[in-house]
Amino acid sequence: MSSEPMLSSDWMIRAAGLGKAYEFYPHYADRFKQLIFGRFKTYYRQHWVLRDINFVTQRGKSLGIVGRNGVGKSTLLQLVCGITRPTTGEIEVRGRIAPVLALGAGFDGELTGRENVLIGAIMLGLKRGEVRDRFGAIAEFAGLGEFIDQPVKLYSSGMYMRLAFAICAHVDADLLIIDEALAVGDAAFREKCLKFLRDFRRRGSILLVTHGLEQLADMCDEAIWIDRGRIREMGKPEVVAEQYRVASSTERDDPARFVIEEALEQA
Amino acid sequence: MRSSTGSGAAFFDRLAEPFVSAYRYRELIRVIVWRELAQRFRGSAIGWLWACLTPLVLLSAYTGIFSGPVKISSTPSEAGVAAYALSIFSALIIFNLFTELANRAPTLLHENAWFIKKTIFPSEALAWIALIRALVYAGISFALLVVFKLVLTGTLSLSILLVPVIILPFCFLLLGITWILSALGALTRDVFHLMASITPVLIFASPVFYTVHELPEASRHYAYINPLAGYIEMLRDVVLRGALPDPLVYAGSAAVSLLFFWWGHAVFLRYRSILIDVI
Repeated sequence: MSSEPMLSSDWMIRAAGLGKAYEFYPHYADRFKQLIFGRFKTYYRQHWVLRDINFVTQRGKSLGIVGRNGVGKSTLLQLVCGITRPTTGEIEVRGRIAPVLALGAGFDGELTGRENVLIGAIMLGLKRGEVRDRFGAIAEFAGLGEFIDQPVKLYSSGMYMRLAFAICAHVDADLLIIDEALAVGDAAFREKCLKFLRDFRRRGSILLVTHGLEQLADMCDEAIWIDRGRIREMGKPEVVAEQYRVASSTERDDPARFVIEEALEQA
Repeated sequence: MRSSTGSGAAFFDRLAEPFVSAYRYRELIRVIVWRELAQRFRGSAIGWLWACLTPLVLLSAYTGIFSGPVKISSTPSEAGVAAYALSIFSALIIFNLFTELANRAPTLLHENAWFIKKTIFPSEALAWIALIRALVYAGISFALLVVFKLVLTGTLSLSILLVPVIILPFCFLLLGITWILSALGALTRDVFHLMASITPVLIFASPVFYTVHELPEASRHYAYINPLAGYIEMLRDVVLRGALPDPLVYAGSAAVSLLFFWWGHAVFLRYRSILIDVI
């Protein structure tokens, strides 16, 4: 978001005209009609989850995202990770990404914590040798004691989260993506995570989605407030947080927010 | 180099693409295969013995049934029951490899939806993972086949060394099929039900309970329209008959398989981004 020309080459995340629309089909068969006759007629209704998103985050800066449920925050994270592709515009990220998106998304309930660490870390791009070297540190960070050798189906959601965060903290990421991750942990572990994140900010970037506004001011250099798929405010985290707080207390919880629009005929 | 052979180089890049991607994600593929195998028999007392027991039961059942009450017209009367059982069993190794993947592919992306949508995961690698897993079970069946061949006939031909040469192009065929069926299956669950109803019938369209050589001269060539037929007969050639595979059948099967492989990969990549939003 910084516009100094000197720094503009050293960006970490860059989004230009970014938009994402999902297609909704009234009938199941319409999806096939669209595949076959799509060039003549449109069979779906479009829901624009995100539109006109423009921002640049510099290397080493951390970005916070706030907004109410269903405004497109998670979709933005998916776009940053390259999990889903933009409908319009483009998004680029430089460096290795470690998503703490859904905690323990890759975990297998039948396998032990130790085995899941191996899988999770390799999924985030480590080699097997590297995982072996770091296992001690990961286990210590997670602080699960003997439970590390139990199947993770026996874990509580807090323990799950500890293990997932511990893995992400040890994979040498340039960009750490955190989606309301810290909500589950107990106070002591949260403190440990926050300390880690503060240290991490010196070498890498954090992309944080949160409903905790004090975390936003604490962890981020810049903040974006997303409302109905568009950037409503961006700037200093304290300022954005305050505006968001005011709006949340004055604006109603409007059920008409979730509207699937008619398809836009595009040339 | 780029100026004159640009399009040629691009063409070869595209042919190499599936291999490059598989190599790049080799650690990931390996660890997930390991996970799937480890998880499969967790919580069962005799674990891996099940993987041997299932084909063993199958082989005994076929031997038992065909030696006693059932006589199929194509059963070669002079050939022993044991030879016939081995013939069926070797065909089933190929056929089961195919059915395992054809039945699993349509739900492959759904099974791993959480993975694909929530983490940075190369969904095209799922086909390799499914293939390797299926190959492990086929390998166990194959080891049993070799043991039974030795026990029942007392001989083993050197041509058995050619098995990897025959299985390799078959793997390409299976990967191509898996990519296509998983892409279609992500769009609609109908593909799953379709495959589940087709595969049991397909066993009769494949030379499992008969051999291609027993078919009437005129229709023999049509049997090879089914790409499984070539592989089944070639496996029988090198393992049971101690003969070299027909080079024409081999070349044809390999060519069809490679085409399927590249086509499947291209189709999958083309629709990958749509699929992730659909599942």
